[in-house]
Amino acid sequence: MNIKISSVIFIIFIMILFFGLFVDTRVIRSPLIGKKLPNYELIELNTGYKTDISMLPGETLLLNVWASWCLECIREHRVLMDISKDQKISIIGVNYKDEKNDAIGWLEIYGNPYIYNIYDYAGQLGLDLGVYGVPETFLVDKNRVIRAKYIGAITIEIYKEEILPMIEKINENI
Amino acid sequence: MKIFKYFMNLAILLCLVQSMTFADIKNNDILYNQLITEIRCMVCQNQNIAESEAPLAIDLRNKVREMIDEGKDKDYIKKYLSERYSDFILYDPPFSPRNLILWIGPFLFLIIISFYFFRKSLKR
Repeated sequence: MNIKISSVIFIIFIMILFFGLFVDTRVIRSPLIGKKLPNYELIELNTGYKTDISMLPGETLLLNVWASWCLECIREHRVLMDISKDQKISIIGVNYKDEKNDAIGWLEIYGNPYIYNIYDYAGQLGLDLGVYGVPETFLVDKNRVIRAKYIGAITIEIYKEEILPMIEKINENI
Repeated sequence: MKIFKYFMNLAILLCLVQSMTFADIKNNDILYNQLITEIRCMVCQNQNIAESEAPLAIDLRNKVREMIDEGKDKDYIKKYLSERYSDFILYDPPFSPRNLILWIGPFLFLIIISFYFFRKSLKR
């Protein structure tokens, strides 16, 4: 009897530890989901024009935080190019803590999937968005409310299985 | 000799004035040093931002310093960061339903175990 109970406890304990191995501690649910996108007053990367939250297109969009020093961004970039060719959602870039010429050159080499880029040299917008692992992507609806956050590179699977259904759901509700 | 005495008095007075004017700045330093040990670096998650040299940790340290210089208090700074990076950024997370198990889990475990051993000892 006693051995039975202790072995059950032991197995439960081991199971908790075992499943703990597969928890990705790097992915932390952002407290910003469901909140409004923070405002910013920055310049556009290519043109140098002033840009703020009111200039975002009035539709559901992806806000992609990237930098030319970020290697993972290169891998993600191909997916972003495909998404922009798909023309179901527009992508706005946030160029995070980068040198202007590096960023512009990077877009020339790999192509530009973005409608435009917000140039966040100081990283204040990144801080307001709780960015800690570039690339990060936010799904923002037309009321400027953050609906989802993806930490790390977006894959075509994430796009098809998570982002597209989410866009449909958002568009139905509004 | 008398001049020397006046000079010494003046020097002591100056020291007092100086320590009073810098007391505020020193308090800020204490607060800064305390806060950066309580904030987790989100990149290297087992380090606080005082220890970490990750770019994000440096940014966060600068931000904390900036906010202290603006006269913001501890609660404001902690709230500012946890609103953006979730409670996970605080090494001392606040008591909330989401991390209830974290706070009461060990006590619950203690109660169950002691209840079990208590009953076992009664049976004997």
